[in-house]
Amino acid sequence: MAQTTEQTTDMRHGSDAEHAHEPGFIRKYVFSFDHKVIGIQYIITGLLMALVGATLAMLIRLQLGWPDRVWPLLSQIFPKGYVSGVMTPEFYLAVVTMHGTIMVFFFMSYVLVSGFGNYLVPLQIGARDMAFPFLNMLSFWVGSISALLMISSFFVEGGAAAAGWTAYPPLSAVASAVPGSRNGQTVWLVSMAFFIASFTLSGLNIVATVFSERARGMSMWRMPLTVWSYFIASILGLLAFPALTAAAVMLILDRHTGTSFFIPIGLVVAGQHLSHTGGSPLLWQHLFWFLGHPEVYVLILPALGIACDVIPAFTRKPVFGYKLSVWCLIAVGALSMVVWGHHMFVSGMSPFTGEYFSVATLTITLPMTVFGVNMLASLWGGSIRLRVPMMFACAVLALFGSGGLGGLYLGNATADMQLTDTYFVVGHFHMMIGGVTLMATFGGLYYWYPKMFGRMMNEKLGTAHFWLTFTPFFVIFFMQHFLGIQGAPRRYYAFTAYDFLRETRLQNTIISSAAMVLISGQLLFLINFIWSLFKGRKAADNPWEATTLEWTTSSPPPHDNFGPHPLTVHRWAYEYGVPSDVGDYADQRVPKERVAVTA
Amino acid sequence: MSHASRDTVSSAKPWITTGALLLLTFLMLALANASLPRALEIMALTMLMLMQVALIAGNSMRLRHAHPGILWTFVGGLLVTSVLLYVLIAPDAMRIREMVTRP
Amino acid sequence: MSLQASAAVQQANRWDGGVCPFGAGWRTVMLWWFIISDGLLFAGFLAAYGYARLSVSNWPDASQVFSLPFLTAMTVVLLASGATMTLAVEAARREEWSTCSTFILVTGLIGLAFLGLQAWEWRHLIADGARMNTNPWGAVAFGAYFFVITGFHGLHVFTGTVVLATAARRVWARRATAVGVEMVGLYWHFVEMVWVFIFTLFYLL
Repeated sequence: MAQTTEQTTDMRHGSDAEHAHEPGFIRKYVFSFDHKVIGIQYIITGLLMALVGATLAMLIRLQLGWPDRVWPLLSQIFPKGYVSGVMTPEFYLAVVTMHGTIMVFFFMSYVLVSGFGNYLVPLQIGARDMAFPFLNMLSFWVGSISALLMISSFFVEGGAAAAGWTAYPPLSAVASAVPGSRNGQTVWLVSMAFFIASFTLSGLNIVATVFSERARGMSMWRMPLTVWSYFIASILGLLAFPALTAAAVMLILDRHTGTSFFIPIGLVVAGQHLSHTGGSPLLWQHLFWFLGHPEVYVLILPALGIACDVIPAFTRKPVFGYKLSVWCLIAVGALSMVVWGHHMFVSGMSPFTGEYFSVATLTITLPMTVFGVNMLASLWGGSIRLRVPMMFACAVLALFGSGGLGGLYLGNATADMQLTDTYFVVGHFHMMIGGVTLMATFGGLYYWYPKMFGRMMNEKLGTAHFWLTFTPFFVIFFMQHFLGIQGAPRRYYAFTAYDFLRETRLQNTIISSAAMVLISGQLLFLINFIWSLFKGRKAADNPWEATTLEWTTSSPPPHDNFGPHPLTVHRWAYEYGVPSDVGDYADQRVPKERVAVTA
Repeated sequence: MSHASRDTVSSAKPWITTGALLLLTFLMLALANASLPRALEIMALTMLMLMQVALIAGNSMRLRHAHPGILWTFVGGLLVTSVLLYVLIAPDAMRIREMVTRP
Repeated sequence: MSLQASAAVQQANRWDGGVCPFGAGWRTVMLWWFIISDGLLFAGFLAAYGYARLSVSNWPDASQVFSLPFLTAMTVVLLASGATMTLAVEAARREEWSTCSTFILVTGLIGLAFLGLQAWEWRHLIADGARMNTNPWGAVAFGAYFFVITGFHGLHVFTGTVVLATAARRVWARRATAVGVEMVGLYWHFVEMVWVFIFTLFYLL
């Protein structure tokens, strides 16, 4: 009975609290409790961080593509990073580290998980807002502190962290190991602490919202795959991140109080014998990857979920094997918690656990493949409308398939010994957590832009943007696989000193040129985004004739999403290809008396 | 409205739980001091610890009265995940010890 | 229309939406997930400790380092606070708010006593030569893990006492609900449970 009371208070709270009076500008757009505003705040912050990450990628590619060119201009912008126009190796390491960190945590996690997650989850389950709107706002602002700290680490003494986004000790633990390990690494760790706090708050909110705030009739088996993916990804985040928090605390202590959690005995750095004894760098790798591997699924599951929701709207047929896909997501989520060791095959780990991690990793390809085949089958026999979101959804599939194949090699310990720490790995993970997520982000932005801002994005610019994104992206990272097979190691700032890599010079130049095309192509998106905001065609409530709940409200939706009356859901999220009075689809609110329910 | 009619739990119960917890604590102290074989000691103490955890989670945190879903979320999310983490990193620690102590 | 809808909901499965699946509102669900996530932080520390301990052969013998009677006192104190917390939750269910407020306050005071004992223990060990990066008894990591693990637990106890103080005030001012007090209780018992893990795995084993 206590629970019933609680529920009624919940409902009351939801309906009256925010209606009292129209909030002012600051309440409405800055310190807003509205999940839609917070979602868009996350998306815009994430896109700004992506600009930083992309700039860093350009620096990397300039260096690798033309290693002996002199860049006087860059010397003026980065006086410490470029000594008389030539990049220093230390700066290269810092740039690589920050590129990875920003792209994984501050672009993908922000835009795809927190941004779209906040925006879509309440709308797609028919809720007024997140379960705990205040916490939601808090999570955004804690996250912003984290992003600002991360950017600021470029300006501290010694420059930004340089131990990779994985921050492996002893490089990250010993201040004399690399300039970035002086203050940059500390700022990095503190920033990550804020990020984890923010991500945990946001994850708690998403889990509780999906659990308890669904509209009447919105059973778990009627939720769109997007919501399922956010639900599972949030749970994964909640389970995996604390291990990194613990590890980060220990690393900070190693750096500042002389403990040796991760620093082994007898270490000599820069000619100096360290006094640390008894730590194990392997422990950091375990704790980091205990987070790190689920984290890539936290990013990729929402990407796949979004693609699964975009595809049926443009094939006009239900997504194939909905329930099977959900079970695959659950299986992938569960398995992703116990396969982290495949990042560590060459770390000197126990061969027995290595064998286990190998088998477990190859097992995860089964549900992943089933999921991919379901997506392919969703295209089969559809009457495809090749609009921009659909193109990006297909790109998700293309990269998921080709990137996934590389995973088979890397998951196998024997093959991994050869390929690890080469560009094969770089190519593989850029296709998966770089590409699949990037394509889904763009697909999602083109798809939900009309809902977010009430205007359509320009289709022609969008098409051009698609080809200028997908083609160079595929060229870059497909070619990197071959670089890796030839033995090109990652993290090296130039390959000029190695005879066996002289042949790869041309490949690197091509990759770098493609990267410049890719990044310049994003200008089209930027122009389209801003231009459409003011001049775009006014969007209808349901411009794509889709079935999920967000399309049943106005574009953009009002503050309480669906108006004062509670809504009731009568069917699953993929009622396409059925005759109804609006066309060939029925949204989730249409009762079964009007259009027959197929699932 | 009053919840008195619904609540039949007597206030003696928390003291029973606490008493049981204390009893287990003393038992564990005794076991830790008795020179048992190491494997047996670890097993016994872990079992008793889990009994304590079950008492706190079941009675004090009222998991016994909660929906089984919450119970399984808790057991799977916290306990199973922690055990998996430890079980999969422990072999490396043992390997380090072997390598260090091998003559 | 709305009557029909509510009848439909009553018949419907708990997973059908409009009703909370585990018979628990979002606050309870969120708190449980928070507890799991926070618990995994300790799992991270304890797993690391177990790893460090397994990888060396000179881990100090706990009975040489710690005074077991003192530890027993700490445990008894924390377990007693658990009992008073349960009493507070039960009083809240019976809506006896002043009793509830008193018990919450008592719980908080016992929590402070625990922190005092812990400070005493730390001082004692520091006097004996235990530091983050060294200790007189054996493996270097011992001191580091000791201070980090008990420190983080102490931090949670401290947070708990702040939460308890706030809750006691709210309950006293009749601005609390039974569910709210129950949630404070959940957190406090969680802190108590973490101690059981630390006590066994770090102090006894």
